[in-house]
Amino acid sequence: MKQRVAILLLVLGALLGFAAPVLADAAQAGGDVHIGQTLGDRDLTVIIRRVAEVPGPVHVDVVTHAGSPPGEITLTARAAGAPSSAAKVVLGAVPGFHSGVVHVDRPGPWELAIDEATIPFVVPAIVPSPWENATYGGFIAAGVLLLVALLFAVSGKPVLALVPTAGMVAAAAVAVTAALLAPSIPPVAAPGTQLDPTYDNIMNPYQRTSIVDFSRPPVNLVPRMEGKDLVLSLTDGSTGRPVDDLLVHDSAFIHLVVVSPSGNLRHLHPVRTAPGEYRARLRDPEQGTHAIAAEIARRGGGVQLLRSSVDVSGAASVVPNDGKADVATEIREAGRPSTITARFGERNLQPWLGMLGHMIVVGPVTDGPVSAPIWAHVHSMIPPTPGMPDQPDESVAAYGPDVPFTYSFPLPGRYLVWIQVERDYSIVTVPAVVDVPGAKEVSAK
Amino acid sequence: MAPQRRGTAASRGKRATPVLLTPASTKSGGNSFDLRITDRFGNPAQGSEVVVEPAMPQMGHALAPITAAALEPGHYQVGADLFMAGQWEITVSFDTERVVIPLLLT
Repeated sequence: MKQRVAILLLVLGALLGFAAPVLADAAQAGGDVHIGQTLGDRDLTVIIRRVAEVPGPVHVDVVTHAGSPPGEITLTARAAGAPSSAAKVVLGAVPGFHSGVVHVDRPGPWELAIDEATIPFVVPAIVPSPWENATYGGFIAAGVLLLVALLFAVSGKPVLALVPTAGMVAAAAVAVTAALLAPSIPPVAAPGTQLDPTYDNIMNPYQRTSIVDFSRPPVNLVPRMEGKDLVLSLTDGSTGRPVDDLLVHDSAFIHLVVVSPSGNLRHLHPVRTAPGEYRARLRDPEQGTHAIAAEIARRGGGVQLLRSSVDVSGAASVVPNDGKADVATEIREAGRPSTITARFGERNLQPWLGMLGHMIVVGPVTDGPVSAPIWAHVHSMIPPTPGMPDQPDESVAAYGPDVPFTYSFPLPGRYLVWIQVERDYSIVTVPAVVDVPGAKEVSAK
Repeated sequence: MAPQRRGTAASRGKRATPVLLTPASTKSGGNSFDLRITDRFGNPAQGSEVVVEPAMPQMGHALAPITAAALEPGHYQVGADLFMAGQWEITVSFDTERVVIPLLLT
């Protein structure tokens, strides 16, 4: 009898050991989403914070920038078949963070409406993966079978105990195999970034599809002016249908750069007002043909640059970009990397669109920016902080003072360059002109 | 981890110039490269300025070019802050040659 009790204790110990948590990869709940929005006369950054539990609150931060008029905006979270949840956010005259909380009651594709702008976002479901189930299920089955075997053994039927023992070995083998192989199983296509998000594929994200190439056709851009607003119509290059699958990349759906005939630059983030329709207000525009370029990323991968031009009726002259910085250039011949460093004096720059600085390059200009063959958008990166997977938001004003850019100008000639950074919630745009020599001019020196 | 030796040969026209780049580390962060450049006869390359141009095509980001310090003929040393893990492209340029060396940092 003593011996039997000892065996029982031994087995119970083993069982408790199995009950220790098995480390398996859980479905990653998404991170914060930062989206720049040019909404009416305001330049906002909307931050949709990570959704911790469903049903539960969604914290939304609305960051205003300098020159943004005070007022009230309404945040509305809505999804098909779900009650919508609204919150009013009062935007003060002082630029900075303004918070609102809306509620979501289910995982799935949701839309956050900010007045007339709509931002689609995904509330992920926390679904255990099949291999996680196999690991946990295998160990639990092994434990139960062990108990059964034990009962047979204690009740004097050692031969019958062999059957559940064999089952236990098999169950443990399944669990160990699943746990060991789980890290090498390729991830499934994520709804929202590779697949169009639907209620079904968010609730069952481990269903495999037969699609291997997720890339999508190019996009046609047709701009038009509607009053003060520049309206962009995006259609699919293969079907002609509206393009409504833009991803947030570099913290915006569309990075729209508008260059006026006199070389004045605006970097706008049009808001989505309907499927395939985006709009941004051009404040105090200049008369003439403006060159525009839109950077977008479609679901399934790849960034596209769409260039076009639009005729704008406005004033004969406008206030030029007036940012001040000490711009040091080291220009090499065409095709070799040149460096342009803007020195802003103080270490108080804020990240704008996830980057320390942006440089827009248009050229070589002969008869205006509309016909310039090269159009580039160069970044100055914020070095990643180890252990901080989320990007710092605009409340961190501790970067700079030097903002370096490296770019290989592909053609010789005169380029228009604008460097943009954020300081005191205000976008500083520093214009510059760069002359790039050809390869022969240098070797002749 | 023992430093990896990565070599490649550039050939343009009739010339073939081997470049041997040995990174001090294969981790992201501060790094330094040991460069050995020889001409097609195996003699150390003479005289010209050697510039290293790191870039990360996947991130769409290039770093400012760095001029390598000559330790002896054909032997150069250069430090670079490759702050991100991933696939880098290190372009070594000298005279009219440009040699692109892939470097994977973990």
